[in-house]
Amino acid sequence: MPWSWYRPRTCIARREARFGYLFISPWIIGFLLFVIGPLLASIWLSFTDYELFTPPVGIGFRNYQELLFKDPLYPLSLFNTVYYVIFAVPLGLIVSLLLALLVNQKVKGITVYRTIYYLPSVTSGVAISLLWLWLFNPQLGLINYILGKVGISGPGWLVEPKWAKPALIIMSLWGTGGAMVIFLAGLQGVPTHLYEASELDGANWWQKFRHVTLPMISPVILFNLIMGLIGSFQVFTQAFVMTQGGPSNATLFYVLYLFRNAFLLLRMGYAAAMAWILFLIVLVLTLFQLKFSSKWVYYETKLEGR
Amino acid sequence: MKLLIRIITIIFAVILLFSMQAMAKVTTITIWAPHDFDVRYGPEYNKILWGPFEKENPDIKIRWVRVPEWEQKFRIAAAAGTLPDIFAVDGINVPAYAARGLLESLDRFIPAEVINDYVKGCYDEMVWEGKCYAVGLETNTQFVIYNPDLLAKAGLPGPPRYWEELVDFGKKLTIDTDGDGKIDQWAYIVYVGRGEYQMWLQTPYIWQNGGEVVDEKFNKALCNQPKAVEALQFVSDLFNKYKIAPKPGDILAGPVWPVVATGKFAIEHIGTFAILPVQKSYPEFKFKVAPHPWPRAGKRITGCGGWHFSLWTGSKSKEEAAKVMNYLTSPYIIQVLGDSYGIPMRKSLMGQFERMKYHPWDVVLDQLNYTKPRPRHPQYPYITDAIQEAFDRTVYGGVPAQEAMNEAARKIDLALAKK
Amino acid sequence: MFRGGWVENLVKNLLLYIILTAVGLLFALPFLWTISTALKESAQIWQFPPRWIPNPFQWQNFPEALKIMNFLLHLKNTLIVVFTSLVGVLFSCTLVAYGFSRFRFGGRNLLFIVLLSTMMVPPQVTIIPIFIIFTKLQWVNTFKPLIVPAFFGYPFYIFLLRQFFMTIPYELDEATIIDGGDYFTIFWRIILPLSKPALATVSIFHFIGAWNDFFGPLVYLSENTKYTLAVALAAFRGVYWTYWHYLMAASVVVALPCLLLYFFAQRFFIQGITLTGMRG
Repeated sequence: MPWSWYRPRTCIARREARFGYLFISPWIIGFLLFVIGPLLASIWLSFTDYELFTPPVGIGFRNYQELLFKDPLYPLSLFNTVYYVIFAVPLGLIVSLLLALLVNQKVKGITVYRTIYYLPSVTSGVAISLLWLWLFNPQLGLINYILGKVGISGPGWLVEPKWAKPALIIMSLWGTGGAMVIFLAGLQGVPTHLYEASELDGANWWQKFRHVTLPMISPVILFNLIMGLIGSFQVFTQAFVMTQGGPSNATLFYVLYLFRNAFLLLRMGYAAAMAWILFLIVLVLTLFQLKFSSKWVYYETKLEGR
Repeated sequence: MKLLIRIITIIFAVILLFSMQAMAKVTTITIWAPHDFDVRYGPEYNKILWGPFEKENPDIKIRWVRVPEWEQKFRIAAAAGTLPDIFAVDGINVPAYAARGLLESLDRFIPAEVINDYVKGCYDEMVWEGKCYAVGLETNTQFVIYNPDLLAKAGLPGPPRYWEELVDFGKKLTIDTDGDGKIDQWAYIVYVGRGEYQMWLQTPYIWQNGGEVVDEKFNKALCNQPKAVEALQFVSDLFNKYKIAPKPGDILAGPVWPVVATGKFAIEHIGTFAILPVQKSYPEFKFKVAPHPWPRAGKRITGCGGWHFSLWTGSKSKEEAAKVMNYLTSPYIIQVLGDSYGIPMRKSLMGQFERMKYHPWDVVLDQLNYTKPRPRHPQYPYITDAIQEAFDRTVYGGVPAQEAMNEAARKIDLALAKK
Repeated sequence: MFRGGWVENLVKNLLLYIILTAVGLLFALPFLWTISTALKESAQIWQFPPRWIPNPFQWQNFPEALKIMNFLLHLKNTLIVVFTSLVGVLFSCTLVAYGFSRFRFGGRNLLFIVLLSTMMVPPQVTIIPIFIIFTKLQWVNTFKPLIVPAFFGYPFYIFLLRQFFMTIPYELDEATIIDGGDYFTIFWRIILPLSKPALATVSIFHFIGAWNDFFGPLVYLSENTKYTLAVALAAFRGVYWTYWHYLMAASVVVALPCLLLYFFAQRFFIQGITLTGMRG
């Protein structure tokens, strides 16, 4: 039990620690019951050849070797995913924050607008994917039709390797309603007296934004950033429903390739190896984000050691 | 005293009756399928499909479960060992599942003359290595569906019969109708690339040209041989060189399909399953069908494929499930499914379907004689993945056909070497 | 203050409305198309150029679609799953987030990293072991796998709530303790009331997530009558043919409760928490 770096000295501190454990116990119990078993099982599976219908057969590190050294599609899937993440995450954050600022106004009917912007998040992912398939259709879709009316000859979108990923990134921006809501909740939590005080000091809107809003919502920004990272590294549904990894492997994302190995090619062990390498990558990135966050995230609870 | 004895006797009789009822056990046979029986047959689907059987066999009840997103649910359940007694199988997966011990061999339950009575394309998928592992649910073949008005407007005598004619006719049918410099009408459309539907459509091109995907004994991939590479090149040229076909904007049988009904496409390479829905959903659309073109120097070959019912080796009620399997081969079921999905699956019952004598079904029946199934091998998932990728890269990514097929052959050889 | 203020305000507001509406149209477009398709007959759906106003209006697509998919039955199933799991989520995630945000205990940071890490493993590789666990518990083909885990917390909501809880000043906790309260009092009287936007967010997210959850019910339920709305919607996508007009009509109806919930939950999104008398 890793007590070494923190030893509660006082009675109160010990009591605090005990209650801390008590409050997080639901998660701990659930973790032990439902989560740790499958996690360990999937690690073990990564060292086997598992064809789903027949029992797994141990093969040592061969899955990892093949992944890292012999499979031409693996680095491609990683590249495709990183490409997607680099654009989708920052753009998503900016767009959702702008939307949240936009709907944070106290004008009449703002609730209606908030609902409209959240519409995409209310429909199921599969339905949205099918809808956008049609929207992006080069000959018969709405997007190229509208572009045509403005005099632009629309690209092949999901049929052209160059445009397939941008198409999916655009689609993801349309679905930032969730992050918008979280930002909105964060904006609502900024105490108004801070704005009043800064106005007394003569701050304009940009200064207010930079020195009051941003710091006060920084915990929420961190959340959206980390969740955005974790989520977009696992981008799957759109590629699965709309392109199946095509055209010419342009949208062969990491988890799609993983899924294909797991369920279509009957190579679950190989897929498990992929899963754990992804885990390591995302973990390292997240830890980096968290470490770095102490420089820019402001928490009201100055928990030194908290 | 006599009254007491009478009461006791009555009570005994009632108890006996109840226990006899309880002893008459009812076995429930569960069937999983992704097919939309509930939509096609309406809320009474249970009565329509299973009524006759349940009447004849009151001790067996059939419970059908609709499973959308089939692959995932089926494979998870299979991995955990919790499959239903009977489940639907895509014909191409029969070797893969049978080799891994999922499918019960049906030869001891169903008479040989019934199995042999199934139409060619269906039979090819039901049987593997001499044993029958599945009975047909629905089966399909391919053809081109075309818009006769557009062809007449272009002054063409009829649909193209050969690849060479397809290119010639195609050039006349791909036109800019409103003079804005953009093509508004396309000659041909066929879905190629990623997806099993695409695989189903694109493999006949290889075979028609005299090529093969793998050799007969499944020792080696032959897709990188000249004839197969030529076929891939031809398909790619339709999109990229002759430009008589646009690259489809979606992958699965999705939004705009069959596109030929929109009036912007003249000819579409498609399967039997489209006929009935198109007739129902586009009643104004007058279409015709014809065999899809093959090279003059090649052979007329088309694809076959569909779904079947299989019996799970782990079923706890095999005898009862076998009875259900037999029922699924009965004339009644063949009639019901045939009316709904198109092709009557048993040759001896073809006469019950008047419509098979008329267009477009006469063409379909004819095509059935030229069908060839996709490679029947337990490693088919790798074979299809490799070929799909080759077509995807060449058609959409501009990779040279030979290079793409070389990579596909490499992958297939690796997979074949495993077993 | 009159300094030419009201004209300026009017212009500002007008500009705001213009921007709001323009962006709104962009977001609403696909949904409008869904409604348009829902009111068409099959043959008209894929016309080109696209036609926004159906002619004729097939209002009957709605009742027909709902009847075919047995809407009420699946609505009942969905309500059961969603509301029970929502109770579980609100119960467990608030408590756990409280623990992570305001208590010092050994291994806290490590455990928090573990919590986040569980979200980093693609579910495709853990689904089979999880499914096997549920099979052994004999929970398959029941609602339990969809409801019980909610009572043990979901990392996403725990993380979200923790971030929000950490924006509440610690002075309030200290004040409560001085007044004789204990940890539960702080939780109930300080943390929860001040987190209304966050709680509303979690409720909305979970409600909508569970409402639209397709994969969970698909894998764990093996009976047509037990399916939820999300799975029942898939009824319109056959192996070879999709009934688009029915699918769109049904999708609109299925999405309505979520929209209404979101619309009415807006009352919890109130501007600015004024902490009077609590200057540190």
